[in-house]
Amino acid sequence: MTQVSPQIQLHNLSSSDGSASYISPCSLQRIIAGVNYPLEVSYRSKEVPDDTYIEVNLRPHNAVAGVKEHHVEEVVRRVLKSMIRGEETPRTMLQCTLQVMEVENDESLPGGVKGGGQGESYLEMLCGGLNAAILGCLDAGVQMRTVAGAVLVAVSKSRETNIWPSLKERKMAKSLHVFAYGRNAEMLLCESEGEFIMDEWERAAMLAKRAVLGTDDAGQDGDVEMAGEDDGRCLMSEIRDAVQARVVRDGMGGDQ
Amino acid sequence: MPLISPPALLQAYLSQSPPHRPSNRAPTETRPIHLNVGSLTHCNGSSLVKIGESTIVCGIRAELLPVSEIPHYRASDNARQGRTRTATTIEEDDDEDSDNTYDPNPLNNLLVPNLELNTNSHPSFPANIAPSTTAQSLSQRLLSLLHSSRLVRPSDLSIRYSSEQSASTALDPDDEAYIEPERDVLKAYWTLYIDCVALSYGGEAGMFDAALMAVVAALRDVRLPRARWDEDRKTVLCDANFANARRLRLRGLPCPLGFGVFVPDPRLRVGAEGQGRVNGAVQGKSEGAATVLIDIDSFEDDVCEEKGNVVVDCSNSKNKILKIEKVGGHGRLDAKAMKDVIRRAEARWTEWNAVLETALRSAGACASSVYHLVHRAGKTQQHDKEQAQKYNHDGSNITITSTGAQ
Repeated sequence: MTQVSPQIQLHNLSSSDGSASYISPCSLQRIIAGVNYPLEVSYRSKEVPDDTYIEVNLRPHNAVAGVKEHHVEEVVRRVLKSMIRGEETPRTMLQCTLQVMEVENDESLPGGVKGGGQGESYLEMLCGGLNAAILGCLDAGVQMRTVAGAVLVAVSKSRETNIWPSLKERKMAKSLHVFAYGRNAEMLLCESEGEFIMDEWERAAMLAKRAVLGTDDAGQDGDVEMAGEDDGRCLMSEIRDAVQARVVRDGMGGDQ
Repeated sequence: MPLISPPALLQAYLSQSPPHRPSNRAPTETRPIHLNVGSLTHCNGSSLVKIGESTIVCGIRAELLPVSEIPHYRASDNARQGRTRTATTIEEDDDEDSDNTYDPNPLNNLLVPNLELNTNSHPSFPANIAPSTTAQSLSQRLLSLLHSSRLVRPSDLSIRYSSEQSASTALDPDDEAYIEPERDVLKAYWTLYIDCVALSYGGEAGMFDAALMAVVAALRDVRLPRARWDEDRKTVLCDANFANARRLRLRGLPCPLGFGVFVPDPRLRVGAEGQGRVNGAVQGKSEGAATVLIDIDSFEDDVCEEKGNVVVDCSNSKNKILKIEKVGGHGRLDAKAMKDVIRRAEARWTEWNAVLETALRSAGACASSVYHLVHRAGKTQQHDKEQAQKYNHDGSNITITSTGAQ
């Protein structure tokens, strides 16, 4: 397996409370997240008396949001809702804006235009968008129960599981899976499509868990073991490094 | 059901022995499927599915899409498709994409599912507003599943023209007006508009189940008129004769099953604080343990945070999973519990298969008696016999009704 890891940068927007850019490995997809929290709820009817109202806006790279993006927004919103301690700031709103900056060229489409039509799989966008949203929340200092990371896994026709598949691998795959794991190895999200059997799903889930957490078993205290194995670095340690870099930069009196 | 504390009610029911749900079902008991096929007159195929309070009507209308109207249409695709088509006989080839070409999905815009949640289907849906997030989510999930499961064969939706039919009219090759005869050319596609209307809303998971079943049943019911390309008129002509209409050859039969994980509110747990912290696993029967509920209704849908749907296909005695979705909650459902859900979905498949076959049979019996009427209508309207461009279902005065299973 090649050494692949996502590129993460925190706080690259100056005027939002928290922001992050996320470039997923192999697929060159770049997403920027901006998080504002806490805000006043825009419509009184949306105010939740004992919880934080979460709003997610997703913009594709070339258009305004359509049905596909709205579905991804809804899934990201539900995952964030399960991660965030909303009861700490009742009657407020968390606003998360995701902008897809760049996607891979799809040479199979006429004229090699960039993909993203409604009929195409939304799993790649979901994976990147969720990671960006979680990073943005971390940067904004949102109180969270857990930190999670999402990975995309493809199972090819010959039943090989590939983590972070490239565009071509995704199109050739028999099934595609997105898994999001929290730091206690709890599966917060799983979306699988295509055609597969339980055994393939379990192998994909195991691979995803290792890619997020580094090891198969998380420590009982919730600490993630930083196993520097040949699998490359895990997503959690990437997130930790990014947060560390941001804290160091702040401590040095950097330009925000 | 306005309640002060819905989770407390559900927990009270589930903590009884044997545990049961407010709907008087066991935690893993499903609701019966009521299905009615072919009840809409102006559609090529239609169905009505009712599972508990989730009721969906689905109608499929086919329209012609000439390739000249497809932007960026590439004839090279067409030539390649024609070649593979002659290489492998189209009948019974289950893997049309078995050649490992890097292929844009030709079905991309040919299936257009849409789901509408009426004001009348639930008190919480206001009138005259844009489609809600739920409705859009459900539409997108249906579309994704139709594509990823490759249920409809592209060859069923394409209208081809082979010039052997008109070989006698071929010009002399020396003539300057001579055009190289294209052997087998794609001229048009059928586009299927799959419209679902919710008559009664029963929670998101339940609605997905009902909607997918309705779509699959309606697709099974679809009859496309025989269409051919008329080279002289440069248009597609449809045969008004109902007897010549053909059905789609679907790949497999998907069966959905919704599930939810109910975790009691920690505030309701007396003296069991901290018990629910075991990593990811659904615990045993101890108090405060998470319970997996199968085929959840709208009340349980509101209470359960962690929920999703699985779609399985057991046709041809091959058990396949087509979709697993699970969002929300705190990840209490582990792989072992998921296996259990899949097993239950496979049992559901058997039930769904039986219900569908019964409904299609009874609809077919009705349709064959109606056929003579359609046939006569077609004869009296000679001028309508071959209708160009846009296919409207002929014989609109005739009602095809049937009563399905159960």
